[in-house]
Amino acid sequence: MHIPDGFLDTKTWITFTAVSGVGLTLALRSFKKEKLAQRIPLIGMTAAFVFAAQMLNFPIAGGTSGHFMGGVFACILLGPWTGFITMSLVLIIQCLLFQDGGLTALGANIFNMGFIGSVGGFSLYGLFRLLVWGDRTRPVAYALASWTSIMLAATFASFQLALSGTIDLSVSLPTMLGVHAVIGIGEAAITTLALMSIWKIRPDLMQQVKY
Amino acid sequence: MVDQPLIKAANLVCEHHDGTVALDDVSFEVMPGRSLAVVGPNGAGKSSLLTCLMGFLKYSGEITINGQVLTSTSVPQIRRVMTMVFQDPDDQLFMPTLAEDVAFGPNNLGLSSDQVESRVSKVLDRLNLSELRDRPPHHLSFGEKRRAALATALAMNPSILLLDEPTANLDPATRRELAEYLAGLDATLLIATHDLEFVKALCPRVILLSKGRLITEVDTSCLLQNTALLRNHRLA
Amino acid sequence: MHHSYLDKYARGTTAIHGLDARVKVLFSFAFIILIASLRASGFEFYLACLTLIAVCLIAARIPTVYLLTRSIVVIPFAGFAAISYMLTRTGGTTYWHSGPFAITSEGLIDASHLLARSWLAVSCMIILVNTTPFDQILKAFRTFRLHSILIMLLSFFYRYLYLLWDESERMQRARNLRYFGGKPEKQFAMLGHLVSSLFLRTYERTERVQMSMLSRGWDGSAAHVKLKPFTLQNVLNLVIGFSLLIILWWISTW
Repeated sequence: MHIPDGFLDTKTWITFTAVSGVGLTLALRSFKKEKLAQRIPLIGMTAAFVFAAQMLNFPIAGGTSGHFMGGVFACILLGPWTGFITMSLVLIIQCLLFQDGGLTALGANIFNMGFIGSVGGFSLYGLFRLLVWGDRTRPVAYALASWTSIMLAATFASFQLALSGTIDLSVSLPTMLGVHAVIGIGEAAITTLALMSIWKIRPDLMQQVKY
Repeated sequence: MVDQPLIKAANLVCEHHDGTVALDDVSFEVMPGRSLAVVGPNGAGKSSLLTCLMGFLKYSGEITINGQVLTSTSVPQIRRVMTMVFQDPDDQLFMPTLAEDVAFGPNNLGLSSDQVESRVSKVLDRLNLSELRDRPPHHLSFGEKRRAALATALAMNPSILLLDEPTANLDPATRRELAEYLAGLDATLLIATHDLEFVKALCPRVILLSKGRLITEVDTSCLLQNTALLRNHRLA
Repeated sequence: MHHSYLDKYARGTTAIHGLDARVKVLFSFAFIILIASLRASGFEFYLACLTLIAVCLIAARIPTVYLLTRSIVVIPFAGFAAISYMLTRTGGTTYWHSGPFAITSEGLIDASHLLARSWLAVSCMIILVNTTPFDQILKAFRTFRLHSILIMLLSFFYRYLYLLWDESERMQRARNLRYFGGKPEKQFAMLGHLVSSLFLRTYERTERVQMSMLSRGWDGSAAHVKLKPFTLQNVLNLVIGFSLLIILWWISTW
């Protein structure tokens, strides 16, 4: 759901560029200097990892394939703000080097996938973990959060397209949600399986973020 | 005045983060100009020893570098005189271009940009890397990356240089050139390796580690003659 | 392997490669913004833009086939969006309709404009990254006062991108050697395992990279970057570039 250039009108893209720009600056400022020594390599390389992992395709019905987004995955392993910065980096590089997502739509894409899709999905995970205790329900929380994160991102993308007058909400919302409900299952499956296997091999990594 | 040791480790004990023992009661000294090799089979604790000396692992016992006891407060000072070349050059080269990577260390020393520039040019020149200075690391061959990794450490002008498996995956010619080059340096070397030929060319003394324990400290020539000992520790 | 498939031609030696990165970045971004913000414009405008792209492509000696294959990435989303757009527009001659959907001449024209705009923007970006080494693009961002930590993060990202990409490909190949087809559940399980081991490898590398940075006296501040001065020639090039954009804008008002 990387929105290309030309699909958002001027008021919409300027608004979302401003919102994401401010958000990203705040997130970067939130690091204390001592922590940066540890965080800079971690964030930069995790972003490269998310990019590489997004290259692994999985088949969806009808010959098409979807790929992993990784927003919730990054947030659960690194914490929500670091996850947000990581996903923003991925989207910036995808826009510049891969031309996946437009330059003017970059702010909107960061907002949808980096913020709503990652931090939003992660909050749901946090809420679920607050309500339901125990390690047994972990997979359910992972799956739920990552599936919802895809749906949330798709919803916001549809709203932005409608706001720009490009595609009517009555058309874009059902199609976007329909397609992404299926993609979301793939996302949920991979996120859950990957996180469970990390939980098994290096539980210490999951405890760094206290959620 | 009697020379004081550059590196002095006494009763060093250190654990991996999963709780297994990495080093168990290791003591040794390195005198200025007397390069030391750390040999041992895979998993003997050679890399752990080097990273521990650089102050990256929690340890008990005492490490003294250049007269300073290694603590969390003295670590920045110690890293100005001692630096390390890691086993995988891809870990060492993280900046967008080679020249920027070599300049990274000197910039952290607080030198002026002219001083940094002259150091970078000098080091690159000495290692025959001048033509590659604006290349990104992923456009270098493995041998070039190895030399580049060494260049990044040498730009710090260290008096002690730690090298982790410097000859792994190198072809024989590159390996020989590396040995010749290292022999010409002013720095005292501490080399972790299981390449005994390389040790013979560079280090008069050797310590042999096995399963985190120091087995023996001997002259290199003695170790090479003691075939039984080498066989016992999977080095021959 | 991939080795800079994404910016294969970035280190060329043509006149376009020789231009200052800051000039190229400013010009390309302005060009993309111009294209994205003009909603309705005539055929002449698109022709003029296409000419500009073609001239740059030839001058920078980038193969046309490369540009075309790389620009396919817009198809999934832009194609989907353009079709929905086309089906919901009304006006002009109606060729086909069913329920709320219709194919009309207006709809066809508008949808093709939409596709043309995103294709032009993508082509411009492809030419930018294939005429300017990425480290120089990052330095240009530094001149434009982008957050210095963000730039350092991006440079890290770029540095390890191909490395991890190759690693993931190697792991996928190792898997395929031992995998002979199976149920979709199994495929997902394997993909999950691949993702987690790739992450763990990345994490371990992060620890080593961090050690190598600290052992060279790093204290967590952004790396020092030396910037070249912005010369008069650069200003001149920028003026020429923006005059071109003004001409393009003027053409769009025909």
